Amino acid sequence: MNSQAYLEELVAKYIEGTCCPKELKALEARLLEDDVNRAYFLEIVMLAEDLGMLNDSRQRRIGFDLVPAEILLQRQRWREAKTALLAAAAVILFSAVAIWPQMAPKHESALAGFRVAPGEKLAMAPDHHKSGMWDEHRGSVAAIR
Amino acid sequence: MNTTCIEIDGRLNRKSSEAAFMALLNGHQILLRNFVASLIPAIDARADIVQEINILLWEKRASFELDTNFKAWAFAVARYVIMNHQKRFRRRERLMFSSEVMEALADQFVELNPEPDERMEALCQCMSRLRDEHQRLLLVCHSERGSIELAAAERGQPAVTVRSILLRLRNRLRKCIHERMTRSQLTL
Repeated sequence: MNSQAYLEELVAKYIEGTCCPKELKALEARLLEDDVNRAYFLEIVMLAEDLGMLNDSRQRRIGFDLVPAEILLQRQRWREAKTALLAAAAVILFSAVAIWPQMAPKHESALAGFRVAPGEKLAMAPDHHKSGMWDEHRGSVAAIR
Repeated sequence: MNTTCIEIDGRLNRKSSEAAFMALLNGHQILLRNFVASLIPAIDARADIVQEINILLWEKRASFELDTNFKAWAFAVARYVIMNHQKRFRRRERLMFSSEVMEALADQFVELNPEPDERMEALCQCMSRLRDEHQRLLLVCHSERGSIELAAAERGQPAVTVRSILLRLRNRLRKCIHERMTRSQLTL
């Protein structure tokens, strides 16, 4: 490996932060050799720092573009509206439950009605007796007893 | 002028000079970061050192006269802070340049007189000439959280290959920036 290539490798390791003590000594020796090496070192280190800063500034810009303030405000407004709607729905539901017993129509429990076909006569117990069905029933009741 | 007027006048002067000092300090942040990065091999310690330099510059602002060379004054303070760290780093057996190398690098850095705004503009122009994937690789690998190993895994290439691509790209960018800055200096 030639001298320039080795210097480049050492500078690259310095930038990465992976220089071991032996490599740092080798870099020091080259930096003391002449100002051309020092100029190369300083320019590459500055370039690496500038690239880092450029990346930071671009990331901040990208982040801002992805979530602009308008979208955030819109989301916030929707969240507030959602909460208000839920609260209103809860109040309506509660009121309905509370008012229901007073508002509900009072129905008397209707007795079973009989409707007799026109021209027919409703006859109950006496006819049963006559037909003898009643006696049958009485007999079965007596049997149970 | 009565005493109250003098007091108010003094306060306003102090406020405006503090604002001017703050503007100078902000305008030199990139340079200070570059300066510290050139002299401190320990990447994780750099941000704290820059912060320490900023605090010291702010505390010593009374000793700085506006309309004099802020850059020279700031670099002198930065050198002092870095030298203090050098002693501490030695005690903790952390990697550090020798005093001789640090002096040589600091002197040459000041001589180079890098103009951060011009450099950044030239860097953006030179980056736009690279392929998108190379631009991305350069930005990712030089970011605080990025690493060559991660980029290599993402690209499905060995780290050695990515390292050599980066080295080539950096050399290209360096040359391009150099040419652009020389051209702009000639046109001025």
